[in-house]
Amino acid sequence: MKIPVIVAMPSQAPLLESAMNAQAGTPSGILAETRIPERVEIDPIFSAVPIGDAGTGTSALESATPQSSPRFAVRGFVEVDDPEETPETVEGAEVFSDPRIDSFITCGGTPAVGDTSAVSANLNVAALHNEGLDGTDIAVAIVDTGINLQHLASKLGAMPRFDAGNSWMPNGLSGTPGQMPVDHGTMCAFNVLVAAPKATLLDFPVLSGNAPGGAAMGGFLSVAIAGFAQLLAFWAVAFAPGGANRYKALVVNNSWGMYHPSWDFPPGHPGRYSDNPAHPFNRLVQLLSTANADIVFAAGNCGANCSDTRCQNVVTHTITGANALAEVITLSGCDINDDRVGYSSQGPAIPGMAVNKPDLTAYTHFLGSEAFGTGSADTGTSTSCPVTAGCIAALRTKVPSNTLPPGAMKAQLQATARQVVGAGWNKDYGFGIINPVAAGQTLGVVP
Amino acid sequence: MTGSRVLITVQMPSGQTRHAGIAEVAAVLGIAPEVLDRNFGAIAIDPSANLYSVMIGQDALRELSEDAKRHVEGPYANPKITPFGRPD
Repeated sequence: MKIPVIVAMPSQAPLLESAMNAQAGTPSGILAETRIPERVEIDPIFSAVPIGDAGTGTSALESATPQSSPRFAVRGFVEVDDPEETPETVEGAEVFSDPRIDSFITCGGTPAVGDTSAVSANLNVAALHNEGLDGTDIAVAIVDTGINLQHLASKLGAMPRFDAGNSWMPNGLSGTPGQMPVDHGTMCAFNVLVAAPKATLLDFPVLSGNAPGGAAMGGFLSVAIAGFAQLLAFWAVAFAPGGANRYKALVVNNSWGMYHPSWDFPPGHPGRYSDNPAHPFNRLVQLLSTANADIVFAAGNCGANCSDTRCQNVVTHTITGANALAEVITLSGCDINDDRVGYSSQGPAIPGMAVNKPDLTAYTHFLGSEAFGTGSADTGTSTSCPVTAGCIAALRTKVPSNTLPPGAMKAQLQATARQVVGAGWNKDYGFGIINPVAAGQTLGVVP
Repeated sequence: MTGSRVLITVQMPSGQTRHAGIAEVAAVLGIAPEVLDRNFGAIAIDPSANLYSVMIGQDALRELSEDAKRHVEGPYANPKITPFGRPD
């Protein structure tokens, strides 16, 4: 087998010329007249690199210039039967490893990568806003831990639009919609407003329902059932003949789910949630979609590279339950450099549901709401989900849901997504990174 | 209501034109309203199909009459759910 190596060769005129050419900005690679050890297959494209004195580990800077360097590094391959038999030297030249390297993937502990302005630039939200696509008259329900409007106002410089009358509180939960503790739900609301600053927020704090003190420890699915039933009632009334039809569309953000199958009934149980479209909550979600609500769900944080510990190392078929319904848009996450974050759950989804999940990818892990403290990043697929909800809300400003149903909107977003690793669906990015301007162009609302 | 609660759906009679409450669902099941979880209530899963969801104690579910059980599906899982933010 061929082993990639770096060979430290003594200086010779062709190596010096190769290094000088590279330094002058006219790289020539390794010149044909260079004397190369017989056992080394040289990479002719890679120019010689001056590396100074041998062996000291503290090469003086001046000895690392091409003219002064006693040694040059070249890249090549040696043929061996076993990597452990790679020679230490060839014809007196030292042989070093040339291992594959890659950028460090973004994981939970990685500091923020970029900020909201970078996300806005990547999404080209300015082009959306220039066409009046800003979320005006679009309701966005944040089904989460609750919204804190004061925090949003302090970050945004203005109070966001909020519909207190159509917000909702679970029975037994103290607090007021819009005045909940600053937490995960506030982060989600902030990220909706990146693309849709004039959307109207609705607060549905289902994840605080059963948690002592209202902390964001999560809740139980039954609370989400109650919340979705309320959403369905609100939306049905909004579109009833003679009803208060004040919104053109309803977008529902769900940055939550189950982390591990042990939280559910065991496989095969007819009342199981994970892979059962007939579960009452899944039926409600499907019904709300049929009523023309755009529903987005986070894929989860059980990606193979650095899954959340709550995944308990289960990293396959982790997109489950409503997050894996065909009627919803399921979001993976990438950083502002288009690199998938290592914790973003990968497809396919659990068998029995819509397996080609996630549907799309959007940005996460950037400095945004600072809901968890100054300098803290907005992370998780929890962030890519509302970024997408905001993009949909922006588009809905001129494409109401009664003219383009949610399924058709989803198809447009998939068709116009920016593909990262080839055509079609893949397990990491779905159909690609959301591109709201391209979707708007296809829909005829962006020139 | 006492004991461990489970999630079930109840198929209400066809022809019902208004939203059913705890009392109506309890009547179909042949039980007193207080046997059901009043905090959760009776939630319309599919109003056009008269399908409702309620929470009931496991013991009470077992003790339903055979006639009442014809209207019931479940129990369904009510798993813990949690935010997908701040991966550790």
